[in-house]
Amino acid sequence: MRIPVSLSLALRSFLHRRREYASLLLVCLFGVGVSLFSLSVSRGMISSLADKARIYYGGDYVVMGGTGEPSIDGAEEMAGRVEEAFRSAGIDAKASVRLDFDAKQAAYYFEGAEARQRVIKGVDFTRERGLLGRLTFVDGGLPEGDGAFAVLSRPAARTLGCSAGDEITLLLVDVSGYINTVRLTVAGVYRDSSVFGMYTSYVGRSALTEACGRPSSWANRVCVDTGAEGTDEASSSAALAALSGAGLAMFPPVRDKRVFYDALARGFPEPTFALVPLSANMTEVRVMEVAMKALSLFVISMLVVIIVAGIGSTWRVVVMKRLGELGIYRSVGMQRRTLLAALLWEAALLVSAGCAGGVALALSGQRLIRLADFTFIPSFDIFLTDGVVEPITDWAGGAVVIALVASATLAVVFRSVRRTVAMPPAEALASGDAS
Amino acid sequence: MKKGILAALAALSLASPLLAVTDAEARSLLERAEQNTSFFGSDFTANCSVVQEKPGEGQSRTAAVMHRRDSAGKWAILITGPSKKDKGKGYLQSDGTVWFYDPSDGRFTFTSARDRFQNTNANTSDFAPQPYARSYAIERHSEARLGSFRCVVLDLRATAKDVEYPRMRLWVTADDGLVRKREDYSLSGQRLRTLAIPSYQSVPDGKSSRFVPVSMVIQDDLRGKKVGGKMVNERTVISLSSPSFAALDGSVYTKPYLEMMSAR
Repeated sequence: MRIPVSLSLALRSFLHRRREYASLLLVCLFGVGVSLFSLSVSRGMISSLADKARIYYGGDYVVMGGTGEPSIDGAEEMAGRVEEAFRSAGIDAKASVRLDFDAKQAAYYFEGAEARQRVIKGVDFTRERGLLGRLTFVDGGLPEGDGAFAVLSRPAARTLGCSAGDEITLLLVDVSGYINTVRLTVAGVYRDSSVFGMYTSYVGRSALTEACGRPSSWANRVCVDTGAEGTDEASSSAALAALSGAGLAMFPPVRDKRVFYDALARGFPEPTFALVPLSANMTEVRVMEVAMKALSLFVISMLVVIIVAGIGSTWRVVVMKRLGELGIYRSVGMQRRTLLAALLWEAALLVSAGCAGGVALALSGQRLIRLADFTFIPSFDIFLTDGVVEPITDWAGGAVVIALVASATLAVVFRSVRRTVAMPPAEALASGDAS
Repeated sequence: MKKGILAALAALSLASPLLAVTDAEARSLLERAEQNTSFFGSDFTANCSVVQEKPGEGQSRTAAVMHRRDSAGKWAILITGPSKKDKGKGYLQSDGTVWFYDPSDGRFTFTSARDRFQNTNANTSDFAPQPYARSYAIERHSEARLGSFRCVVLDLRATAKDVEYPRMRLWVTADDGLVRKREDYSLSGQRLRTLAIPSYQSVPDGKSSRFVPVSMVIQDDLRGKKVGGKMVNERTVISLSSPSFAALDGSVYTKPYLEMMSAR
């Protein structure tokens, strides 16, 4: 295959002038590299946040409700109905029963030390192994069943001075207002923060329910894990319809869980339930997500502008310096479009090399950032996986950035060289001699 | 030889039946124990010294003045020192509500009788009458010796919801109905606190006299620290001095009074 003259000319010129183009290459390389890196880092951080949310909320959906407060009698049977309803809607789902316990008046004790929590989650460790198994354990692991076991965060375990295998005391105020205690065996200690940057503990649901003074069949949530599938609006609507068809009085779809909470507080004449998707639980976190995406977009935009403006303006100067050379080409009969094509090819080679280098830089940066422990930054834990930022390469986003850089740069270069190329050969030669 | 005789005497005293208490007598004793913690018909004032010992952290001291009008269900505690940070703070129970006053922001905040007093091992409710008979039923009773005291041991279970602890064990001397020791338990039977009242002082109240604890030693059975490999629990000692049953003006049990006294 014959290489076009313009390309051959561009390649030769590019290689000949590589030292001149070094700074432009670096601008493009760093600009694209940083853009792709920030895309991958923000994507990884948001993904980590979403993962923590799924663990914290027990999956992709929560079915909750009652007549005046979250209360489900016959919770296991309810979980079966929910699972069946999801499957009938074509969504592969696993439902499990949870007790979200407000632990403001509760505390753990071990050998005289006290640790307080905001929320304690009563779970079935076996049923939720798929989700809870994603916690990063530093000691022990997940127990089986929903008995008198506790899975604590590392800060809580450190405060108590306990480790896996130790027996701790949970003191709480039960539903009657009495102080009650229950002995729990620490099955595991994990290091991840929860979605709100706090550290939640997980306790066997039956042990917690009994300590609270509730019947063993009682819970306040049925959590549905769909493996992050079936979370689009159409699937949610289908699931909601299926739950209604299963004989449950269902609340209309909610985008914010507080809408249902307010309605529940006002009371329902009969037990009414809401299908709360994960996104409706995370309205506060969504603001953070939007802010991160906006910041990322801003950084990328600025970098693209810098690249385009930098290369575009520098290219004009470069071309002006080569007027003599361009005049020679024109005078020996090279057509304007061939010359224009050569210059554009040259710019394209520069941008391509810069983008390729930028991709390599971004990928290297992703590997390097995984080595850094960011747990020292307060409240940053929510974006970390196992204490580190885990970037996710956004190939589609990267392609868009590269396409934008390439097209914008070439457009600016075209604009800046078009007139120069149109200059009559004699004038070009004269201008070249003069410079 | 001497040691052997003493040991034998001790064994005999333990082996011999101490008291034979019927259910009705136990109930009556419980009511008497409650009455001994209440001072109906008069105001009660005392200086309180609260000393908390946290293992490994030393002691913290609080001085306070306590006023009670049990007939109206009111009491007020004003912190008088020694810490400048705490001086002027106060607690007030009125109309069934417990308020905490902090002069630094001049605000009264709602608190609970269950809350800890100045972050010690004493609860705010420890300064108030104890509802032993009103709010508890006797599950079983037995006899035991506590040091030199012959006591009836009453195992109590809460019958009311608004109590501090759902289960309690009291050591009450049968002859005077005074509580000598108390253990507070959770619903599941875990011991949470141990209170000991080593001695009482007799305080004139008109033509008669009442018994007021000289001191109360409260041990927190959950909080503490391992010191030298041995578990040492947190303790708080409340000492009452200068007790008096002199009548007080009703304004003592009001928020303005606390504010005024805090400002001094």
